[in-house]
Order: sequence, then structure tokens, then C-alpha cells
Amino acid sequence: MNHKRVVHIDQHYISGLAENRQEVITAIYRKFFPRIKRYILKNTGKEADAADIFQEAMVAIFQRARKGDFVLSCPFEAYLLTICRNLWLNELKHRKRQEVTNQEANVYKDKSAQQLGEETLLDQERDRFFWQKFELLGRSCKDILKLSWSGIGMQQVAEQLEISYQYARKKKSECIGRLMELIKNDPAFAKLKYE
Amino acid sequence: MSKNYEHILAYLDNELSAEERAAFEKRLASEPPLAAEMDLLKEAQSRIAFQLKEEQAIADFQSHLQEAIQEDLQDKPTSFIKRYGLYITIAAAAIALLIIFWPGGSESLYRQYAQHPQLALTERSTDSEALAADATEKFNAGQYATAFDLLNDYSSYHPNDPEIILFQGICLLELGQAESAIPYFNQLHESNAINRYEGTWYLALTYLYISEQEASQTNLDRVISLLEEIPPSSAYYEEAQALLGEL
Repeated sequence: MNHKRVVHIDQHYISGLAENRQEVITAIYRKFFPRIKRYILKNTGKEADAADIFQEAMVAIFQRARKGDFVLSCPFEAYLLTICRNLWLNELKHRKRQEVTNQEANVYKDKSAQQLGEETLLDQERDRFFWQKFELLGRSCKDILKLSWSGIGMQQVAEQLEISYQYARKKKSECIGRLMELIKNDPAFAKLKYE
Repeated sequence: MSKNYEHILAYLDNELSAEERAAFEKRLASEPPLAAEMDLLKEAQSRIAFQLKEEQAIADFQSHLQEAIQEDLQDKPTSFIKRYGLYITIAAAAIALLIIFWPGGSESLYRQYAQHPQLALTERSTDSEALAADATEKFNAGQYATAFDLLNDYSSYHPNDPEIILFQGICLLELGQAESAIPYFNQLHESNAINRYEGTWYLALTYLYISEQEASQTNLDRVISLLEEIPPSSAYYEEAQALLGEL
């Protein structure tokens, strides 16, 4: 399952995105957006849909790129298009329309692109899911978890929040309990694929 | 359950003694639900901590992305330039040279500024492909009457395509039928099409042409106000400003 992926020459797009470089973002937009737009327009979408899907895909790729261990093993275009296509298919499902053509299907036959694209979207879905649960916590829980996950020890957390160390630990444990409950009680949790 | 979290947290936060740690690891090995619970907690922590750390970076990224898109939208003529390739750049360079070196007086302003982009419709792969190739060839060879007829046929496959409308207008203008060209350019000028400022530019040129033909000043105010409407983001801004200077 974890065989080594060979880095594709387009990896520079990933590095440029990870560094948040404007010129790389602009270059990607100019080079690849027209094709995405064509695909969306051919599949019952509008120009505004194409822009939304492109942005969503780019944010997913950006977040994945920021995690540092990402190896692009296929052309960037195929990877981006796979993600856009999957996002658009989901959107159409929401809109209850499924008449999607296979006009650009050749791109998606790139197995590596398909796999990478799916992994990226799943990764983003998980990020979002856990974040939404965190957002449901109360203010004091968010503060204590935020501090304790910023890389400082519980002693310092307690000092910064001006509470006792014992209380800080107890409170953190309660907050974690609450967070885990929110995660496990959401039916969407069961739907997130885990290998 | 919260008790378990206390243990897991103490373990993850490195707050257990060596013996406690060993004992807890033993439990992890023999209690898969506990191990699964710890994995889930680790994942939640790593994903949420990532989002917390990345909040600013994501906001920056989104604003960079918006910038790229906005820049392109404002520059819609840029995609027009892309589409018509090098030709329009060459035409613009030729105009610049004319402006710099024009000895003045002997040719009309209209002629100086009417440097048309080349037509390039061959990208479109539809039933009308052959028609597109013919129209492109004729227009670029300056055979405007034939090109106009071919563009008319082509437009039945692509009704209201703003780029076809532009070139139909240019054909008429080149054929000396300025009055007939006006509705074409006006349609673009009054639209939200990506090349609407090309429409504005050509409408101004058309009135300039008429004004020169009639040797009257009556249309010049119209030319000026049209040129003033062309914004800096348009590919025709510099020409418009230069022409305004001359007027």
C-alpha cells in the first residue's frame, strides 16, 4: 500500500503553493483554469461554478501541500482536474443532476492522479470534520486546547490561563472527552473512510 | 471514559513516570479499543492543531487566489490577447511605433490607429471548424467581404459570440460601411462581454472614420467620450489615451 511514489517534475507547483507564492497561484490559474471551466460548462455548470470549484480544489491542494510530506506522482494538471471533477460530481449529486459527460475522461485514467486526488479530498474532508467538531466546543475548552496544542507544556498552559496545573489537566481531559463525544456521535464520522 | 482520556493525555503529554508509561503501553497492546481511542484522539489533535496553526496561511492563500482571479477578470482583454496570440501584440507594437515615428499629417488618424487584431478561430473544434479556418484565412489576408460572409455563416453556429461580432464589425468598417458597423460595435460596447472595451474602442474608431470622411467635427465629441470610457485594465487603454492626446 505504501509503495514509494516517484516525484513528478510538476512537484514545483506543490512547493510554490506550500510557500503561498502569488506568481505560482496566478500561473496555475492562467494555465489550468480554462480547461476546468470547459469541463464544468460542458457538464451543466456555469462560469461561476467553475470558479468556485477551482477555488475549492486549490484550497484542498494548498492544505495538503502545507503538510509537507506530499509527493506529486502525476502531472499537476491531471491531479487538479481529478479533484475538480470529483468536487463537481459531488455538487451535481447535491443538486440531484447526474448527466456528466466523459469528455475529458482520458485525463482521469491516470491512476496515480485519481488516487492522489481522492486522497487529497478525503484529507480535506477529515480536516473539516474535526474542525467543525472543535468549533462546537465552548470558549473555555477551545482556549485550553488551542494553547496546549500550540506546543507548550500543561504547566505553561495553566500559567497563561491563570489556573492551577491540576485544574488545567482536569479541564483539558473534560474538553477532550466532550470533543471525542461530538466526533463519535456524528453520523458523518462513520462515513469518513478509514483504511 | 473521561478517566481514560486523562490517562491517554498524560501519556501523550509525556507526563507519566517510566513505570506508568510502561504499564500504559501494556494496556494499549492488550486493549484494542483503547488503542483505537488514542489513535482517534491523536488524529483529532493533529488535524485541529494544523488548522489552528494554518488559519492565517489559509486566509493569505485565499486572498492570493482571489487576486489571481480578479486580476484576470479585470484583464479580460488579456485572455482575448492570449486567444488572438502574438498578433495583437505585434499590432500594438506597430501602433506604438507609428505613434512615435509618425511624420504627421499625411494619413488619417483613423488609419494610424485602425490596426486590427488577427482572427484566430481554429481552436474551436465543432462542426464549424472548416468555416472557422476559411474565415480566419480570408480575414487575415484582408479579404473582408468574403470574411464577412463566412463570419455570418459561422455566427449561426455561435450566435451572439462577442468575438465574432467584433470581427464582423471590423470587416464592415474595412469595407467602408461604417454606418453598418456601428450596431455591431455598439452591441459589444453596451454588453458585459469580455471584449466590450474592444467594442468601445472600435465604436470610437468608427465615429472617427465617419468624422474624417465627412470632414466634420460633429462626431468627435462622441469619439472622445467613448475613448474616455476605456479603463486602464483594458488592452486598448494606451492606444485610447494616445488617440485622446492627438484629438
